[in-house]
Amino acid sequence: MENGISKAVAAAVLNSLKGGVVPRVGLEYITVGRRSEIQALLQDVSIIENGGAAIRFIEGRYGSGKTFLLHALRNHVMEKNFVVTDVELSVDRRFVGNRGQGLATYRELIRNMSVSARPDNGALSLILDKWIGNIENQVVQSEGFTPGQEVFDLAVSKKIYEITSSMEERINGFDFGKVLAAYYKGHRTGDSELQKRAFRWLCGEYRTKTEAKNDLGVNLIVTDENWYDFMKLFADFVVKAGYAGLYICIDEMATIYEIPSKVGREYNYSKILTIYNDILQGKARNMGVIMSITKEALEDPIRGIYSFEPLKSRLREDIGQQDGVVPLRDMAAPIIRLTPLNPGEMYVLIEKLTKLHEVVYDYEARLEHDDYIYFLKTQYAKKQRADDITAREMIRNYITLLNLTQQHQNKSKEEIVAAIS
Amino acid sequence: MSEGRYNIPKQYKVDKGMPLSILFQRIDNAKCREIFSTEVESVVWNYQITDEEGITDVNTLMRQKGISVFEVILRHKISTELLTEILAGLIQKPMVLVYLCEEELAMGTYLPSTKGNSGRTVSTDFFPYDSSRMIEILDFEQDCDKTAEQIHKRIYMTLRQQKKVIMIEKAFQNLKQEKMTKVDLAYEFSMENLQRIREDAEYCESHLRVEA
Repeated sequence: MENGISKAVAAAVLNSLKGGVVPRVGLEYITVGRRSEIQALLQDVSIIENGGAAIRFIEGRYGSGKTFLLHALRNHVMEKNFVVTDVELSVDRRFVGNRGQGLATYRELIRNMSVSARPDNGALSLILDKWIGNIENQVVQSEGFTPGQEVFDLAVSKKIYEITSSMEERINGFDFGKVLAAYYKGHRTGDSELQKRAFRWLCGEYRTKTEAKNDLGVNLIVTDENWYDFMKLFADFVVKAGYAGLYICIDEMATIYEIPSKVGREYNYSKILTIYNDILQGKARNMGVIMSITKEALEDPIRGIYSFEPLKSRLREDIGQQDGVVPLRDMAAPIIRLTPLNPGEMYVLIEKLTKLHEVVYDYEARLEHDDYIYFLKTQYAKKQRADDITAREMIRNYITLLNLTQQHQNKSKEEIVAAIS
Repeated sequence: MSEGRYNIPKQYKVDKGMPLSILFQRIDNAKCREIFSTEVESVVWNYQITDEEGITDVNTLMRQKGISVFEVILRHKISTELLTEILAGLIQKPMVLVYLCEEELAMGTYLPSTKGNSGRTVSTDFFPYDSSRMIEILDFEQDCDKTAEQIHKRIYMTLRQQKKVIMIEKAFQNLKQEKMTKVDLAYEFSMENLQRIREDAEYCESHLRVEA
C-alpha cells in the first residue's frame, strides 16, 4: 500500500467492492491469503511464456474469490504482454450447444480480447495492426527498405506469407492463414472492405461457407464444433504478432452444471476434456486456460464434472483427509481449491481496505486494531460457522462501516460499529 | 413437453407459478396464514411425474395421477415439517417439495392416505446444497422403469434417511463449533499470525504488480 496507489484506483476498487463486484484494477493491493495460489498461477504464466500451455480450475463457493483471482491474474498477464480474453458462461454461452452457444462463446472471447494498450476489450484490430506494423519495422531495420518503395511492399508481403504459411500445418491453419493474408492484402492495397470481411471471419461472424468462399476464398467458417481450434491458432498467431501468449479466463462454469439435459452436459464436458487433453499433451502452445467453478458443479456425481468419468479420473485427487487435520494441497494439480479466508486473513483484508479508504477521502480513519477485531467477531457471530461468511459479504459490510465512521464524525465509533453489527 | 431432468418420458416439465394469495386464503389457521404470506416468496410447480407417456398439454397432465414436484422459495428458514404439513393439506395430492433458502436446500414429501393407511409426510432440515447432500428428484438408473407410485415411495424412503443424516451432521457440528471458535480466534488475531499474513499479502502485491 505504501507503494503509492492512486486516488482514482483506490476509489475504483472501493466502489466495485461496495457494489459486490470484483474491481477491474488495483486487485494486487487487496490480495490476501492467496500466496500459494498466486505462486502456482505465476508458475503457469512462466510456462506459457516459454511456449508451453496450462489449464487450471479455480474451485470455490459463491463469493469465495474465484472471479477475484481470475481478474488479478488477467491484469497481471496483460501487463506481461499477454493477450487476455474472458467469457462469462451463461444460458446463451457454453462450450457447445444446439443453438450456437459454442460459437457465441467464441465470439465473446474474440470481442473481449485485451492487451495492455487496450485493456478494456476489443483489441483484435490492434493486435492485427501491431502484427503488420512489427513486420514493416523488421523490414525497415533488416533490409533497409523504406515504406512507399515497391521493394518494401514485396519484402513485407513475403514475410507475412511466411508467417501465414507456417500456420498451415495446424488444424484449420490453412484457412486461418489465408484470412490473415487477406487482412494484410486489404491493408496494403487500401481495400478496407476486404479487411472488414477478413475481420468478420476472424470474429466468427460468417454464417455460411458459401458466403466465406465468395468473400475471402476460404472453404471454412468458425462453428460450434471447431471454435476451440481457432483459439489455439490465435494463441500461435499472437506470439507471431509480438505478444507473450494468449490467456483465456472462463467464469461461471456452474452454468454447465445447470444444463437440464444429461446429453447437453456431457457434450460440454467432452469439449472441456478436449481442451484439457490438448493442453496437457502439448498440442496447444503459448496458451493458458483458467476456469472458475463451484464445488457442486465440479464434484456432484450426478450432474457435475465428476459425473463425466474421463474428466473425473483426470481431475480427482486422492489425498485422504483426516478430521481436524489441515489437508495437504498439491498446488501443481489442475484444481486450485479456494478455502474461505480465515479470520486473520479477513483482519488483514479490512486493514488494507481502511488504508484505501484513507487514500480516497484523504483523512485518517478512526478505526483501529480493537475495532477490527470487534467488527469481525460480531460478523462471525451472525453465522453458524466462520466459513459461512464470504469475503464479499464481509467486505461490503466493512466498507459501509468505513463510510459511516467517516461521514458521521460526531458519533462515536463504538456506536457506529454496534449499529452496523 | 417431456423435458424432465433426465428425459424420462414420464417426467414432464411444467414450471408454472402458483397464485400465492389464492393458495394462502385456504389456510384455516390465521397464524399459519400469516407465517406463509410473510415467509414464502414463491411456489412453482416444476415437474409432474406420471405413468402416461406422450402427454402434450398441461390440462391433460393435470388430470393424470402422479407426483407433483414443487419448488418453494422462502425468505427465511422456517420449519419444513410445518411447511410440508400445511402444503399437503392445501394441495392434497402426492407431491415432492423442494425448499430453497439462503443457498440451502430442504426437501419434503407427502404420500396421501390409501386403504388402511393414513397420509404420511416427511421432511429434511435445511442443508448447504452440495454434492454429498444433494437429493435428486429422479435417479435415472433406479427410476426409468418404475411406476410413479414406486418412484414416490423411493423418494419418501430417501428423504427419511436424509433427514436422519442431516440431523446427526448438524448436532455434530454444534458440538464442535463453540470450542473451536474460541481457540481459533485467539490464534488468528495474534500479532505473529497477522504479521505472517501481511507478509504473504506483500508477496502477492509485489508479484502481481508488473513494473512498466
